[in-house]
Amino acid sequence: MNDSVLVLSIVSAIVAGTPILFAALGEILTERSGVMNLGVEGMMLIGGVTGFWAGVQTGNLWVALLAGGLAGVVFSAVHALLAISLRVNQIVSGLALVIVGNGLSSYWGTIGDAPLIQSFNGVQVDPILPEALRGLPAVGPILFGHDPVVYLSWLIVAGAGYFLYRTNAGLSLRAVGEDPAAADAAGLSVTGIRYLFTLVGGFGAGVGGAYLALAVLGTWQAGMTAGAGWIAVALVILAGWRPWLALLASYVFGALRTLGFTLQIAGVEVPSDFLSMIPFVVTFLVVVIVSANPERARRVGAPASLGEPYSREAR
Amino acid sequence: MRQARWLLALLAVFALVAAACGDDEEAAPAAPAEAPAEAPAEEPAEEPMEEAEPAEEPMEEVEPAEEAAPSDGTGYSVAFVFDLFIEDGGWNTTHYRGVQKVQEAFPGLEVQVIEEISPGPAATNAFEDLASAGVDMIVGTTYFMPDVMPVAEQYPDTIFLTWAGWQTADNVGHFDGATEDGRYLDGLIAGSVTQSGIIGYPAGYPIEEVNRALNAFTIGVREVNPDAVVQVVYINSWYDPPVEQQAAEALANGGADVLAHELNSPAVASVAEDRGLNIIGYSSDRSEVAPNAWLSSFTFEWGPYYIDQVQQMIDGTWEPALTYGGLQAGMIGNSPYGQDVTDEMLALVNERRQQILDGTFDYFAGPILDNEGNVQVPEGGTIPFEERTTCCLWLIEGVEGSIS
Repeated sequence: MNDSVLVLSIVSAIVAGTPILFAALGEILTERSGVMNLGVEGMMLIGGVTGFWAGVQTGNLWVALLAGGLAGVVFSAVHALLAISLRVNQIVSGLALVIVGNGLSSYWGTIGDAPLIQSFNGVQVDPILPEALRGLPAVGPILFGHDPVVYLSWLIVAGAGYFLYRTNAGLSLRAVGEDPAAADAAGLSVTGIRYLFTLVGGFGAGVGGAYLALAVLGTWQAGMTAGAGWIAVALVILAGWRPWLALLASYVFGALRTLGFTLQIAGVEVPSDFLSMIPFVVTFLVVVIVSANPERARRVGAPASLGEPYSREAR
Repeated sequence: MRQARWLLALLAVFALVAAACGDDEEAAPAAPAEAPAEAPAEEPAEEPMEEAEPAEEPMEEVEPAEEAAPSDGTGYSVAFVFDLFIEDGGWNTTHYRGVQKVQEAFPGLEVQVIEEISPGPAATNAFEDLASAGVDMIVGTTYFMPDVMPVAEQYPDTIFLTWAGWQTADNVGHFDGATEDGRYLDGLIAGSVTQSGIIGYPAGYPIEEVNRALNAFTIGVREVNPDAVVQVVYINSWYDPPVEQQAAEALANGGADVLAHELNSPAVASVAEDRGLNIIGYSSDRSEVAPNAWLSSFTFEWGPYYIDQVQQMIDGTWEPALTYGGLQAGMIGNSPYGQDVTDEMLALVNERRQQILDGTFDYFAGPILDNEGNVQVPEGGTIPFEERTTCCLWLIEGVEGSIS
C-alpha cells in the first residue's frame, strides 16, 4: 500500500490489459491466416461463462482457463465452418457470434438451482514469485507481482512473434493470409491452415474471457466483457498484426480504463466516456492513416487477403 | 490493394459501430437494474410525499363476502414485474424477498412473478397482459412509470404500483426507500474502520438520490472521523462490472482503504477482498464475495410496504400514494455485519438507529456546508423528510469529487 499511484496504476493496467491481450493474440493469428473473426466479444463471453463455471466446479485455475479456451474453440468452429467452408460473409458471421455468445452466456449464467451469477470462484489467482522480488520498489509490483497467467501471456507473445517470423509454419500461415492462391499452388492446405488458426483465435478469446471472469472481476455477470472483445479487434489493427505491439497496446488500453477515474480523483475532470472512446478513436486514426497509402498498409502488415474467402475454382 | 483498403475501412467502421452497440447492450440492463436516475430528478417539489389526496374515487370493487377478517388473500391476485431475474443477488433479489413476505402474510393470495421485462414497450405489453388477465394489483419493481401510465388509464379497476414513480393517478401509486437513513449508519462504520482516512465511493450518476445517500454517508463518516474524506467517482452506469472494477482499482490506487459504492455488481466488493481493503455494500449482502473485507450494508425492505398495500386492497381502503420510507417505515434495514465491525462500532450504530427510529436524532441537522464552502443547510435548519427527495444537487464538505 506504500507504492505510488503511478506504480499501482501500471499494475492495474497490466491486469486489465491481460484478457484483451489473450483475445488480441488469438485474433492476430486468425487474421494472419486471412480470416477475419469479429466475434471476439461473443467468444470471450462464452469463454468467460464456461471458464467461470469450470472454476467454480473444480477450483483449478488451469482447468478453468482451458475450459474457457475450449469453449472459444467450439464457438470459433462455427465461424470457421461458415466463413471458410461455406464462404459466407465473414463480417456477418462474426457479428452473429457476438449476438449468440451474448445471449447464450447470459442464459447459462442464470439457469439452474445455483446460477453462476450467485457463485464465486474458489480459484486462487496468486502471485508466484518470491516475496523478496515482489517487495522491490516500483519494479517489484510491476514486473514480479503478477499471477502466473500474466507471465504465461508474456511467453505466448514471445512465442507467437517467434512463430510468425522465424519458423516455416509461421511463414506458411502468413502466406495463406497474403496470397492463398500462391500458398495453395505451393502445396499448403489453405483450408486446413485457416481452420486451425481460426480455432486458435477462438482459444485465445476464450482464455481471455475466462481470465477476465476469474482473475480480473472474480465474479461472473451477464455481458461482463462490456466491449473488451471489440477493443481486442481494434487493437489487432492498431498493433499492425504484431504480437509485441499487441502487448504494449493492451496495457495502454488497460491503463486508459483506470486513467479516467484516477484523473477524476485527482480533480482533473475528463469524462470517462471520452477515455473509453480513445481506443476506438486511436484505431480509427491509425486505419485512416494507414489505408490512405497502400504502400504503407502493406508495410504495416495487413494480410492482403484478409476477409476474403478462398475458393480454388474461383480464380 | 484496393480491397485491402476497403477491408480496413470496413473493419474500422464495424469496430466503432459495434463498440457503440456494445455500450447500448450493457446500458440496457444497467438503467433498469437500479434506475432512480430520471425519476427523483423530475419529481415536482410540491408533490406531498405520503398521501396524494385523490378525489374520492371508487376503488377496487371488494366482494362483501371477503369481510371475514383477517383475510388470507384468497380471491385476489398480485403480479410483480422485474426487469431482471430474481436471483441477481442485488436489486431484484431485494424485491423478491418482499414478494416472499407477501406470500407468507397472505397464503391464499395468487402471486405471479414476471422476470426480465425491460422498461419500454415490452413492459407496457406485460402490464397490459396482466391487467387484461384480471390481476388485481400489479407491481413494477423498477422505474416502470412511463410504461404503466397508459395501461393504468385503460384498466381503472386494476391497482398499479411502481418504484420511484412520481405521477399518480386514481389507480397508480409509487414507492421508494430512503437509502440515506441506512447510508448514514454505514458511514459511521466506514469512518471508524478507515486507517488511511480515505474512503472510495464509486457511484452511478451524479443525481439527487445518489448524492443524498453519499452526503448522509459522509456525515456518518465525519461524525466519528472528522478528518476522513470520501472520494467519489461516477461511472455513468448502474451496472458495468468491468468499469466498476476499474473505478474501484483507481480509488484503491489512490489510497482508499475502505470502499463503499452505489452500484449493482459484486465487482467493487471483489476488488476490496483481493486487495485486503474493507467494503460497504449497496443494498445487498456481499459477504460471500468478500468474506474478509465485508463490513455492512443497508438493505431495502420492501416486504412491509407490499403487505400494507395488499392489505389495503383487500380491505378496500387502498388509495394512491407516493410512499417514501426509511428506517421508521421499516423500509430500510441492514445486512449482517462483517468481522471487522467491533462491538464499539455496533453500539454507536444501534444507538443512532434507535434515535432515528424515535425521531430524536436528525443527521441532516445544520449547519451543512457543501464541498465548495457554500452553506446548504443553515445552523438550526435541516432537510425535512418530505423534502428529501428533491435533495441534493451538491456534495457535502468532506467529499472529494464533483458532480459537474
